[in-house]
Amino acid sequence: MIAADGLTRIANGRRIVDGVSVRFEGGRLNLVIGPNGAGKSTLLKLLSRLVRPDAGWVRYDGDGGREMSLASLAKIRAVLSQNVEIAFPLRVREVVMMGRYPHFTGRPSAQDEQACEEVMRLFDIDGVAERDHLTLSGGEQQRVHFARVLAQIWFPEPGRSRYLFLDEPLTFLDVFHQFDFMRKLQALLRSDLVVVGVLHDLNLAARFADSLVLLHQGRVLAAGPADQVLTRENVQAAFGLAPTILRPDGKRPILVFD
Amino acid sequence: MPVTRPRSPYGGVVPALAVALVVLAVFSVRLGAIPIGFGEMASAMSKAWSAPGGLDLTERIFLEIRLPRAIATVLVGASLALGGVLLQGLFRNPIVEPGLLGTSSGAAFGAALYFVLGAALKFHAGEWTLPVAACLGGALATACVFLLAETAGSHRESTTTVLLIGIAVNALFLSGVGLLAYVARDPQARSITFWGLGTLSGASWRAVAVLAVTTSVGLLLALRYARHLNALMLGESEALGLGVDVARVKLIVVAIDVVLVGVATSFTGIIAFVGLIVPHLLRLLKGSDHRYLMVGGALAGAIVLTLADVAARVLLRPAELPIGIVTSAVGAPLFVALLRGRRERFE
Repeated sequence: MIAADGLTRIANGRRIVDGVSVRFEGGRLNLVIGPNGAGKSTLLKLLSRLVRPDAGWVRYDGDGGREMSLASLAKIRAVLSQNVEIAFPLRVREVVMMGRYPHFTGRPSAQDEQACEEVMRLFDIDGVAERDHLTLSGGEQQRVHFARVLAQIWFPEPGRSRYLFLDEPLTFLDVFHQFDFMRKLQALLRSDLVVVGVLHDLNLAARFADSLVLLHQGRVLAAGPADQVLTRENVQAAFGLAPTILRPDGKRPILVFD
Repeated sequence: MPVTRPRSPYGGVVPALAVALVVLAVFSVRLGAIPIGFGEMASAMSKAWSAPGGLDLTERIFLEIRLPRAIATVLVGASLALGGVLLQGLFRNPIVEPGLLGTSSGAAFGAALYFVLGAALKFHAGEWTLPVAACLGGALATACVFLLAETAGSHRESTTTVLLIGIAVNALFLSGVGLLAYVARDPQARSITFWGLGTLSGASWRAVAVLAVTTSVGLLLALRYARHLNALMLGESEALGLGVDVARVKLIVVAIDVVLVGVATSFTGIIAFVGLIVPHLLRLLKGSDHRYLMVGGALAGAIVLTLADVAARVLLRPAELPIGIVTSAVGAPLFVALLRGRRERFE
């Protein structure tokens, strides 16, 4: 579980994230949505502890209020940023193995190798394991980075939860791979794994989220199940466009903009 | 489920480079106005070991000129290439190197300052005075580039910004070297001019001793940060996510670079492009793992500089070219080719 209270981040005199209090449970798909500049990425950085808040706090369960070192944090928390670009030639296997760096010094253990093999198979990149990632398509490269961040927290840590943060992971993917990735993510959910993702596509968010946070101008506009967050009024307030909302199965909303 | 460990894709290069380096270094020692055979090398070494003195002219040339020069060349080449590997890793950018980012020209400025003011200084550290002066100059120039690059391009150092700032800082420190050469009296002025061009002709055993310390310690320390630099290839935010203390690693790696390049420059003057070309060739050969780039880079840098030294001694025989001219003449066109290739690939 992650709990945050009064999270605030100020840059150039502007409150990018402004007093956000949220809770995210393990075993569920927690997604953050909001218009451009709403502070989604910054919130994710604060929650994943890549950036310190100017006010407020973030607590992970099991850390007993003490701050973990960067190195021990990296064993239980993985972050995928937007647009990871590498300017150097590297084999796919090497990029994925970087995810295991927090777990070994010197040479990777058999367990590290096993984690890499399993995540590469999961994301269908085991066939290109020995290829230079620069020769892959944008979508394939994105899957390499999925594999890398999952390798980082692949095995459960006894007595501790694991945390996965994804900042717009679907950007370079076609519709098949978008669904494929979200389904795989759902299949991975466990009570000891807390997943928080930022998504751009409201319908994908509505389709997959167990819990949604709608961010607007650095504040939480609405939080809860998709059908309570994605109302016509909320979407109008945050995005300035009023959708028609369909509910073909009576539950999950589908938004149509016209 | 058992997992077969994949063979390292980097195997073979390091042993091959090591063999090539030994062969080349021996060849370079033999080459010169007076050819030296293996018999003379062996007898000189055994005599020097058992009883100093009693050496004939050839043996003395071997022991006092050729051998220290060959070893200094190897160590300087290794230092410069390592400096290139470190800076390219830090900037996540394959077209930077110490000669382009001010480390070398700053070090030359520090060394020149010592030549002019050295006699008036109260501080003396024996053999280490000149290298320390060069390191301070190199640190100053490198800090300028880093700070300016950091403030200029909001948070992500773009290639162009860094290179342009490097050009400006280089120009500043080189004109400082020029000024010092202008105000210096003749013998000093001549050695400062040499510093600007790069030369190995002054190599002595004292230089070898100092270089041996900084190069080996620099390599060993750098290797501890190989994995951090690997993670940095993904970007600073990703490296942070993998548990790398990015700010600290940057500082340490820059410090290693400044010492390696500063000390090398204090003995040889500015030798550009070795740190640019060597890591690039290694990446083409096998890949970008920093452990491999560091060890392979040290060896390949030594090979490249030994080759350049042979060329410097052979091309205008019996006169000798400053080695910096050789490396720049070969390196600059390669640099341009890299820039062009990069545009097609990345932009």
